[in-house]
Amino acid sequence: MVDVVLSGLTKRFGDVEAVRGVDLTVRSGEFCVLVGPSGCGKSTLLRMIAGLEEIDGGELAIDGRRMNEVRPADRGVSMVFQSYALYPHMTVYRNMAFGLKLARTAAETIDERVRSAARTLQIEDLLDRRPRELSGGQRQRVAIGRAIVRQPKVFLFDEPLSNLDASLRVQMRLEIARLHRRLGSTAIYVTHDQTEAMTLADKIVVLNQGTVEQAGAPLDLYRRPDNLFVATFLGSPRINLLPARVEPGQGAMPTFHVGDAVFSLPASFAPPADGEVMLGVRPEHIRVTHPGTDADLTMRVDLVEELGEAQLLHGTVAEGQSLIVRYAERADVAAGDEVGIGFSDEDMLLFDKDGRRIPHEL
Amino acid sequence: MRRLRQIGFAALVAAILFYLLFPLYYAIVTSMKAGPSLFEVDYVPRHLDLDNYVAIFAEQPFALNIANSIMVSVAVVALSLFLGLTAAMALGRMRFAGRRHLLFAILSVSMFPQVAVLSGMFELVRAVGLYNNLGGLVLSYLIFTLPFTVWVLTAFIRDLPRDVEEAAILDGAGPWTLLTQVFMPLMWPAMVTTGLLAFIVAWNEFLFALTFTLTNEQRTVPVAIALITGGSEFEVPWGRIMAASVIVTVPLIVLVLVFQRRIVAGLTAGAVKG
Repeated sequence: MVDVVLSGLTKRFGDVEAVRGVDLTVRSGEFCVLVGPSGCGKSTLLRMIAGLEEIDGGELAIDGRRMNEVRPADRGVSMVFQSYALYPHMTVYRNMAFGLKLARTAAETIDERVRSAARTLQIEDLLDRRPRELSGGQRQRVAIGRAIVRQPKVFLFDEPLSNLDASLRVQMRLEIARLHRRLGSTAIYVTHDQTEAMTLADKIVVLNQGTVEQAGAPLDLYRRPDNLFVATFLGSPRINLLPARVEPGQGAMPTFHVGDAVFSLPASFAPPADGEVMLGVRPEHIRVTHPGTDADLTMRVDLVEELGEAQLLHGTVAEGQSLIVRYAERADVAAGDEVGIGFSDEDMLLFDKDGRRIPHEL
Repeated sequence: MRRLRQIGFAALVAAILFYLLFPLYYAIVTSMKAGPSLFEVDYVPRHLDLDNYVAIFAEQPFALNIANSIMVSVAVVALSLFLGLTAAMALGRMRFAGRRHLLFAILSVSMFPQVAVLSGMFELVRAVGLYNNLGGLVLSYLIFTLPFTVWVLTAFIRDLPRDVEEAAILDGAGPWTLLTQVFMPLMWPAMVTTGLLAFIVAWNEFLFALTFTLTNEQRTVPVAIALITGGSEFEVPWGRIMAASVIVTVPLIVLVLVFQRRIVAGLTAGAVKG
């Protein structure tokens, strides 16, 4: 059980800085998910931890020991690749045993570990098969098995579920979560899928353009994103953003304006500088009412998407601002209707013009 | 119309096959003749006369020449594959300055006509003390076989999935283990194809073999055949020459038949990703 500590990690490809001074601590036993849009440097960061990319600056420490110059195989990490990367000419058994054999592990130990990993992953019947005779899900199990038998200090996953179809992906996601609970080892997991990130992670690290935008527990990031990037990256459908204007109001209370509607700024907000701000509200935090009654704004519904357990109302408010509302109450709302919408103070997120969230005391 | 096209196609195939196979067939027919009948044109053998076949083994060390050829060719194939594989590993998988230039330099070696390098090669072979020695032939043949071996294997090794290599690195494989235990098992088609081509080149090579050997005991088959002498200096023993030619063709045909499937796989590999 070990900590992984990244301090100021930097990676350059030619003139491009792919990773720019990343500081991150993954605590022992933690499941840390690196998430971000493609090209954000998440895979590069993982590969630097694995030792597949050289570290241009900063320090990587695993278990308190500097790892920058240590060979990949000696870092005590195992990696599961998106493409599985099994050895095509070896049986499942030999695929899993290969690393141990190279480390000159005793044959009985190898056999014992391979069989126990195979039992855990329910691939005991497949040990004599070759990768090409396996389905995608089975291949991924073998790849995970190959990582397990080496008994690494840290598991690295590079988008391991991206090549699987949707239902299998959900199933494997659960299995990875269970496996992590059982083994209790440290894991670093890269994905671009925010659902995977939210469901698997103890800690999510949102990366953008080679830097950490925010790191923390999934719900913290969801509820209190530090900035617009994190707010829009997490959550599906995306958070609604409405441009607003803050003006010094009558008396002590500043007000802010969305289109024609005027809100008094809840006292819990630290008073922002006057001027343009962005109001963020998640689709499930919007109340739907009759127009006029207890409504902050009136929305014209353009399209209703039926999800089964809820409906997604796509609409426009004043000045053509589009909005998505997740509506779970199953009232009859059809395209063309006008509904009133409202939101509570604690669900509102305000961002200043640089995209930083204005603190909000709950 | 369709019928016509089928007939046309069949005729074309027949013509090509005839063009390819007739010389060999005629060699077989001729190899069974002796004396003046050599100069009569026959398209079917009159009688099965194997005197020529016996004679080439009886009158000269033809068995030894065949053994020489086999030794040289096998050594050339083994060395070409070994050097080709290790070079391909570096050229296809590792990043270093001047890699492209090196690849083109290797290719350009095969552009010179054989005669152009003959005298230089002769000096080289003598300098390392391999004149009139099979080792000299092996050394000189590598300049024909290495360029294409390196190129084909480099192209092939480049197409192998990067993830598999990285998985092996994480499993603790160094470059040598990577090459022998991970890449090589995936490269049999390419190795069989290039190996076979190298074998054919070494087996049929004439000019270097003639220049770098002195005594009949060191000669390889192509030279030995060319130097088969008749009863008098005015007689060219066509019967024996043809018999010898037929004998040395057989191993190549057998090799190609044995590895046929793998060759096809190797020639198309790299074009389409498996």
